[in-house]
Amino acid sequence: MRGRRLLDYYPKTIHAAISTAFSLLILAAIAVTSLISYNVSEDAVITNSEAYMGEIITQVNNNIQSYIDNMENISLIIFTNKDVKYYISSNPFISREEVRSYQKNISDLFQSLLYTRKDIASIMVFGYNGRVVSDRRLTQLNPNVPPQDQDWYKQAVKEGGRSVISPPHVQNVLQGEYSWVVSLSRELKSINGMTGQGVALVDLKLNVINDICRDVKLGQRGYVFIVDDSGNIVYHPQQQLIYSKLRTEQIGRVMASRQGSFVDKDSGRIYTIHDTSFGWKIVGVAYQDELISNPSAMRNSFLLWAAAGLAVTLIISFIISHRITRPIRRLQAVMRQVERGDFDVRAEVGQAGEVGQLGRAFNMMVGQTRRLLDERVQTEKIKRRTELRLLQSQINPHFLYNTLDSIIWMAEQQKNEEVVLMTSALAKLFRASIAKDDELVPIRVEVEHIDSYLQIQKMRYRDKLDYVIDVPRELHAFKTPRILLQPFVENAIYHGIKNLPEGGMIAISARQADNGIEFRVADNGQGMSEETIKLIMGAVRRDSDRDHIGVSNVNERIELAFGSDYGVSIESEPGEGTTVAIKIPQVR
Amino acid sequence: MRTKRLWLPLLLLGFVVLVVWTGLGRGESSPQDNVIAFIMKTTDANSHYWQTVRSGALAAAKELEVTPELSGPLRSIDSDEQARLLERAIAQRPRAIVLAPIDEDALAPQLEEISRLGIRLIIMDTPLLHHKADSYVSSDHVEEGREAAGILAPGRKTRPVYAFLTSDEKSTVAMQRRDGVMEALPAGSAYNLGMINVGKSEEQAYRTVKSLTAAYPGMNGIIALTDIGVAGAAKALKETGLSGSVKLIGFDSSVPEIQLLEQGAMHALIVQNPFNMGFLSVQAALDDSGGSATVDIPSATITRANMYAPENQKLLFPFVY
Repeated sequence: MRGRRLLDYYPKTIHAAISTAFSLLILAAIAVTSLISYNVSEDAVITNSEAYMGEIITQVNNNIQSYIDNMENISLIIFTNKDVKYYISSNPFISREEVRSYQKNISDLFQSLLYTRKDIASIMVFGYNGRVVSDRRLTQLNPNVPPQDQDWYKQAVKEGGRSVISPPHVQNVLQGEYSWVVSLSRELKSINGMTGQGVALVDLKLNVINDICRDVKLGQRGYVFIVDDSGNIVYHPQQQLIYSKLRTEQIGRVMASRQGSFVDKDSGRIYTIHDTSFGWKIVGVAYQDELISNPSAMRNSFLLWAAAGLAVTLIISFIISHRITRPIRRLQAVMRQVERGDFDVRAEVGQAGEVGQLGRAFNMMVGQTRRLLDERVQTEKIKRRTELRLLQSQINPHFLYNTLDSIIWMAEQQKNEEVVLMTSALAKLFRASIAKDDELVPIRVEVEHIDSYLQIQKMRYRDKLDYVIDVPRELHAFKTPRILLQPFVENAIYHGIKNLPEGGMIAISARQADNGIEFRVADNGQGMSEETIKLIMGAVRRDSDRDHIGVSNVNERIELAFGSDYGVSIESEPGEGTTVAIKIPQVR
Repeated sequence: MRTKRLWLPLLLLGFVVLVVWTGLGRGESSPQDNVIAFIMKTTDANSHYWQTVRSGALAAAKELEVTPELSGPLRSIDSDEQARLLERAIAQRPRAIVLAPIDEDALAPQLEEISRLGIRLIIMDTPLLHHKADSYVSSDHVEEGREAAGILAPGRKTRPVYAFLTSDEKSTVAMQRRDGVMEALPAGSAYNLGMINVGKSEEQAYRTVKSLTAAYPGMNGIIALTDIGVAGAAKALKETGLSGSVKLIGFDSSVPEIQLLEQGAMHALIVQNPFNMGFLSVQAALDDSGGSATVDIPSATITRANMYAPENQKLLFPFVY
């Protein structure tokens, strides 16, 4: 069914074929280029986004780094501070008073540091000698939480002088305070720089890191998380869900990866990892589908432009194919006219192209055909006229001989009147047949001619022939071909009446028929059979049979001159007589 | 003739229009479809519990790309205000409503309206007893009670003799916790001294526990169903020197309770996970697939030993952002 329809729709005209080909080619080209450029732009967008993410994560790293550096600096100040060294030294020679003044100096220092840095939660020093000093005037330690048991303390002791960054935790060493911090701790050394004397603690408010990470915009759903060097989550916006195992994060893969990016195919997320100098990994996570800032908008704009381009090119292709085929279609229209028989039309030959050449050749051909046709018509006419002339000029010698014989006979009989009558009729007859080559003559002339002829014949056949001519006077002015009636009258006499012992009657009449004039030549002679009529009407001209030439010649002449509406018809019954009707148009 | 020549370009144009139409049609959704009304018991900034619920809800909203309309009365006892907020939320015709009901009876007309309109309703924190909800997201309070019972009588070596302290006899949550305890400790295996309402008074709790210790020297457990009585009870136990032998078990955390835990004046805290509750409520609100009707959020049992484990720090010291 479908194949059938396709076949039906297969372009049949050149125009359709060209537009179809154009359209399909354009469609394919646009589809391919759109697809390629869409993919290329998608790749470009992803590459750009990855670079952008990298920059953002570097920014996050720089921010966090600056806070960590600051803590580091503070810890160095503590590390190198003489007062601190004395305060926590195990030197027994420092008096109680001195200790208090050291404590006050240190506390003042810490306070001034804290004052300039809003991001620091607290600064404390824990001496191995049991002395504690902080930025608070009155340091009240939580009695239930010994500092020595805390991770940051133990790590600092273990590292022996190098600074340690803790994961975020609740700082609970101070009585009644539970704040989330990131701690930097470091063991303080004695003046000789060898033995440890205490631990310095600098707490950074976790808010600071939280704010940095939270403010990062990585699309609608993207986020930043941080893991420490052992894979523990330092910060994650959904830390609770991860603890509850309701969510998993690609910690393993992050830990295994070096700095850079990877794509998690399952979740469609891009991970961008940045290693910090203090052991943390800052990881930016963005959703791939969001990175292509608005994938459906991009796809839609591509579709829209492809569609617009397609529409425009389709219209143009339609117009172009229309233009290309226009001369062909014009030529086709002209050919159709010629097909219908109009040889007068000519194809427009506008351009020098193939179609122009085709048009010229066609015009030439039509011209030739036309000329041949004209020539043929001309030849035909000349032939007919020649035949007529032959007919007219060839006055039957028998007829002439018989007529002259009759005249002689009448003269011998002293029938002077008849001789005069017959001779004048013969003269008229001759005059009519040698008249100028004027094809059409007034009916009056034709009537006189036939009357002369019949007079002669009547005189010859005496009582055997009688005739009546009934042509209304008002028809006399109309024109008729010459010697129209004589062949039929001759036929009527020689084939109809001559052999009848009792003689016969010929009636010639004319009357106005619908849009023409109808002559009738009726006799009451022998009549003819159907076959004879057919033989006479369809007679091939045979030179031997003059009479038949006459009848068919008249018919052809009429049809040639006036068209097939006019002509000769014969009605006859054997034994009853023959009526010949000759129809011609009314011509003045 | 003319139409036959036009069919191909027209067909192609039609195809193009179709492609563009389907392309543009995608990803369009009315904004109202993405609104989720989220009504808590309170928006009080001092309520760490509800602020953490809020954080969870916001985290879920960001991840799931919905617009949360967060609201709640300023005080967690103002059920009339909550009814008004619920009414306003219904008028908005959100995609779903997440509700932590203060008092089910006060919300009855609104709850009926919700079910009549067919708006998806998610209940969190406190169950509804007389109305239906599409989903219930909460800790299993009965299970919390069972856990408390387990701490009270580990290994069933001693026969627990215990009392309940409460500050609100109408609280559904408190009742469910009590039921959980009593289910785990049936009469015969334990001796229940009854439930004592100490009202809002720390002093009342102090005196009650003190007299209990005098009246029942064999008492070895006190289960405080709400946080009001805990400080008073701890003080009484400390004074009578029974902090070690009488296990004081509380629910949910506060700074005083944490300090009591640090001191050893309190034995255990059973804490919920409000962040997960907020997060999972929003997730449940979007889950139209008719998933499980009840989303259980396991509670954690916090003792002095594990209170500073990283995962428990987050529960005890909510970091509100």
